Amino acid sequence: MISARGPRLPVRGGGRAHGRAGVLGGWDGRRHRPRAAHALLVALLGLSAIGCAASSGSSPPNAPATAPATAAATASAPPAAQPVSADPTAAASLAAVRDAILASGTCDTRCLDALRALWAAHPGDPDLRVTLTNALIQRQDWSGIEAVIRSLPNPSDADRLLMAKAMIKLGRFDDAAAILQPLVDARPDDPDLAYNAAFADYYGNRHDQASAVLDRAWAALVAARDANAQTLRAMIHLDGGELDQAAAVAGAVVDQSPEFFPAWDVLGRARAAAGDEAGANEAFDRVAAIHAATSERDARQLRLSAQATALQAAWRDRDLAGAERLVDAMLPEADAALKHQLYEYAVAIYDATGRPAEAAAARDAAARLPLAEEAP
Amino acid sequence: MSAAAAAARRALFAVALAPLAGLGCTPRPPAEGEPATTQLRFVDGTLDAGIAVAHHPGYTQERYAPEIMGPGVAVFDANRDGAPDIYAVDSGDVAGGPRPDGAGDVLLINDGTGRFLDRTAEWGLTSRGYGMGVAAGDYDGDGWTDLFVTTYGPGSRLLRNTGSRFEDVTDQAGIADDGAWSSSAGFLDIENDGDLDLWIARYTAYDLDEALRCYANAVHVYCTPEIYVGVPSRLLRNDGDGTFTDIAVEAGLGGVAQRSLALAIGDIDQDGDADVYLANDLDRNELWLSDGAGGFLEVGRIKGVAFGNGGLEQAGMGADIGDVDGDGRFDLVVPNFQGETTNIYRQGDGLLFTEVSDRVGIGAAARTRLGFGVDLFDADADGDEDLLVANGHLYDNVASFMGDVTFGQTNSLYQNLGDGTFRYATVGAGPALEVAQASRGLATGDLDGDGDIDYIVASNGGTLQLGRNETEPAGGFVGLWLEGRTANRSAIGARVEARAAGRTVIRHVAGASSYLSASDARVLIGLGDSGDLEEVTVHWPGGGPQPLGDLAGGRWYHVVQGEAPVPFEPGRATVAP
Repeated sequence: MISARGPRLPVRGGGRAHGRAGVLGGWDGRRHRPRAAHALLVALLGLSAIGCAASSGSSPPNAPATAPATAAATASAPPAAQPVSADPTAAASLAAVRDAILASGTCDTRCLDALRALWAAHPGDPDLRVTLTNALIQRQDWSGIEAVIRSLPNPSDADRLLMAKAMIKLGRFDDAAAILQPLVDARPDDPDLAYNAAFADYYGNRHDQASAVLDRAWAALVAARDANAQTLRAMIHLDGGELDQAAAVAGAVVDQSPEFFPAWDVLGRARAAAGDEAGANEAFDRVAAIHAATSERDARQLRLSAQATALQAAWRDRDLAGAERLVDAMLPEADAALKHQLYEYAVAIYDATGRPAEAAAARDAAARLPLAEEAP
Repeated sequence: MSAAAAAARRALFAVALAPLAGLGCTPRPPAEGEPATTQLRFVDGTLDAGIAVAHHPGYTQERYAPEIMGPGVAVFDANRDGAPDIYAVDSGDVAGGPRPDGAGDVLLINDGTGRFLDRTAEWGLTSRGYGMGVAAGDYDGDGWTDLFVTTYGPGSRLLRNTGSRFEDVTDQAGIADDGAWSSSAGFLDIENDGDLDLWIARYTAYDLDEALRCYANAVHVYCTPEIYVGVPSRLLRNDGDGTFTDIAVEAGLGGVAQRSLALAIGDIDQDGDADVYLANDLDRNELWLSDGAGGFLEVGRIKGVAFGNGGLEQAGMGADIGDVDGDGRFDLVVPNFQGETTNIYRQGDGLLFTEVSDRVGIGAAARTRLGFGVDLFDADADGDEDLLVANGHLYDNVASFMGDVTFGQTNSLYQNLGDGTFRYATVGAGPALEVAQASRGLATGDLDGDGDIDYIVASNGGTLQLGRNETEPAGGFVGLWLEGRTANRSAIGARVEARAAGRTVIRHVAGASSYLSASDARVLIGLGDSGDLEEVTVHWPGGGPQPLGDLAGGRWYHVVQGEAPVPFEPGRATVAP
C-alpha cells in the first residue's frame, strides 16, 4: 500500500555534484561515486569508516583517502574536560544536530556553526569530534579539520595522519610531509603511512625521498596489494626516465588490478616515451574504456537521482502526469530494486487516475521482478 | 529576477576572500638563490576607462546549466588604429524570451588613450540568442577583424567588419545553425591557403525541456555535465568566396563528441601550421595536429595532454599556449575545477608533454579556485611568461555546503621566476586582484598603449573588469602587429623568435585561447635588461621565416609579410588596410 508520502525511493547520488577528480578512496576510481543516501548518513555519523561522501576533491588524483573519523581512531585522544554527555543542554543540542543531519543528509552552515560552538565548549569530546570531523570532511573543509586537530592538546598519531591528509587535500605537501616523516620513520612498514608520506614527498618535489619511503615499505605494499603506492612508484620511475622499471611496476599493478586506470596511464606514458606507440595506445584504450564505463554508470546514477527527487516532488504536489512521465523515463535505467519502487508509484498513479488495467499490469510487472533483497 | 535582486546578488558575490589567505595562498617569499622579481601590480581601471558593462545571465529557479557558464570577451582592433577595442558578450534569457532592458552585447571602442566609448549601435551591432563567447579573425582578408559569436541554442553568428560597421553575414556565409550549445570558437587557416577557417567547440546536448534538477549534499545546484552527452566540434572551411562548408568529418574530427569548453590555437609543434588543443569538461582533452592541408590527427593521449596526472579526465575549462620554461617549445596550460590544479603540460622531446603544475609551484593555490579564462603573458616585461587565471565557482550557493569555497573568487596571478617555476602573486598584486566575482572570460592586450599588457575579465552575473597593469617593468618592450600576405591576414599561427634578456623567446599569434574569449593578436615581448629585441624572425604559417634583424625597444611595429617593420603609435591614426 502506498503511503501518503508516496513510495519510498532509494535516492542515489545525493552527495554527487559536478564531481571531479580527487579520488578520496585512493585510485580505486576516478571520481566520487554516487552514493546511497543511507550510506551518506552512516558516514556522517561516524558509524562506519566508509569513504567520505564529498562531491569533489581538492587534491591530486591519487590523493590518499581522508576517511571519516571513528571512535576507534580517536581512542588515544585525551578525554574532554567536560564531556557533552555531562551537559544536558549540550547533549540535547548535539542530538538535535544529528537528527538534522539524518533528516537532510547533510550538514549545512547552521549545523556546522552549532557543532563548532559545541566544540568550543567541549573540546576533545570524542563523540562530538566524530560528528564534527565527518561534517567537515563532507563539506571538504580541510582547513577546518586542521583547526580541529590543532585544537587538541595531545593529538594521537591517527590525528596527525588525518591532519596530514587534510593538508594534502589543500596542496600543502611540505606541511604534510613534515607531519608524516616522524610517523613513517617510526612505522616504516605501515602501508597507509608509507603511501601518504611518499605522496606528500612526491608532490612536494622530493622524488628521491618518496622513492626511499616506498622502497623501504615495498614488501608490505606489495603484500597489501596497494595499487596506489605501487603506481606512485611507477610514476617516479617514469619521471626519472626509468622507462623499463616504470612499465614493469605499472604492468604488475594492472595484472593484479585490471580496472586501476592510473596504472594503465603510467604504462601508456612509459610505452609512449619508449617509442612504443601501439603499446601505448593499447594502454590508453584501457584508460578510456574504464573512464567510459565509469562515466556511463555515474551519469545513469545521477540522472536517476535527479529524476527521483523530481518524482517525489511531483507526487507531493499531486502532479500525477508529471510523476508518470518521470516513472516512464526512469524505468529503463533503473535496477531491479528501484524498479520495484517505481512500479509502486505507477500503480498509485494509475489507481489515482482511474486506470485499473494499467495498475494491474504494473503490479504484474513488479511481481515478475526479482525480489528487492535479491536485486543487485 | 528583478534588477534590484540581481544587483544584490552581484554585490553578494563581490566579496573579498580573506579566508583563502589561510589556505596556503599567501605570497611565497623568494627562496635563497631565487632571482629577485618585480612586484606585479594591477589596479582596477574599469571606471577610469569608462567601462560599465554588466552581464545578464537571466538566472532562473531551475538553475539551467547555460546560465552559469558565460560570458566571454574579445580584445581586438576593430578600426585599425592600433589601439585594442573590446567586444563583450551578453547572455539574456536562456529560454529565448526577450532580453531585459540594457542587456545585449557591447562594442567598446578605444579612443586611443585607454578610455572606451560604447559604439555598439553605431557599428550596427544587435544581439540575438543566449550569448556565450566570441572569436576574432579577418576571415575575408580585407584587413578588418571580424567576429564570430557563440550561443547556447540558436543565434551563433558571423559578424563581418566593414571598417565602420559589423554586418551579420551568417546566412550568406552558409553557416547553418543547428542550435547546439556552442562554447568557444577560434579562427585558423587549416590548409594554409591564406584565408581563415573556423573551429567551433561545443559543449553538451542540453534541452531546457528535459533539464533535471541536481543536488549536492541536498542543495539544489547546477547539474554536472556528466549526465549530458557531448556535441562534436564543427570545422567550417572558408571556401574563399565568403561562404563556409562544414568539413569536420573529412578533416578527421570524425564526429568525436566531447564536452568542449575551450580551445587554444597555435603552431604547437612548430611545423608551420596551426594546431588545436581542446579543453574538455569531464572528458579527455584533445590535441589535434594539423597536416597543413586541411586534415587533423588527434594525438592527445599519446602526447600526454589528454589526462591529468594519474590518468584522470578532468574538468578542462580553459586553455592557452605559451613557452612557460623558456626552452623554445610551446607548453599548454589548462585550468580545471575547484580542488584540481591548473595543469601545466610542459613539452619535452618528441612532442611529449608532462603535467608539472605541482612541480612548478602553482598546485596549492590553483586548487583553492575554479579556473576558467587563462592567459600566459609577460606581466613584468622580464622576458618570461606569467600566468593569470580567471576564477569563479559554478554553484551560486556553494558556500552553504562546501568549506570556505565561494561563488565569487579572486583571480589567480602567478609570476614566472624565469625558469618556468612560479610564485603565487595574487596577494599584494593590487586592487584588481582583490575583486571576487564569478569570473569566466579573460582576454589581454595593451589597452592603454603604455607597453605593458592589461586584461579584461568578464564575469557571470557580474561586471566587466579592466585590470590595468601598473607593474614597474623589468625592462622595455617590443610590440608586433603581424599581417600576412600569402599567409592569412591575421597571421594566426605565426611564430616569433627573438633574443631578449639573454634568452631566446618565442611567442605566437593565437587563433583562440582562454575561455569563450579572444585576446589581442598583437605580440608584445618584454625585454628585461636588453635594450633591443635581437635577431627577430617571424615564421609565417605556410610561408617560412622572415628575419627582421634587431628591433629597438619601446616601440610598436607593423609587420606586413615580406616587408620591413614600420613603427606605429597605437591609437594615433588608422592604418589603411
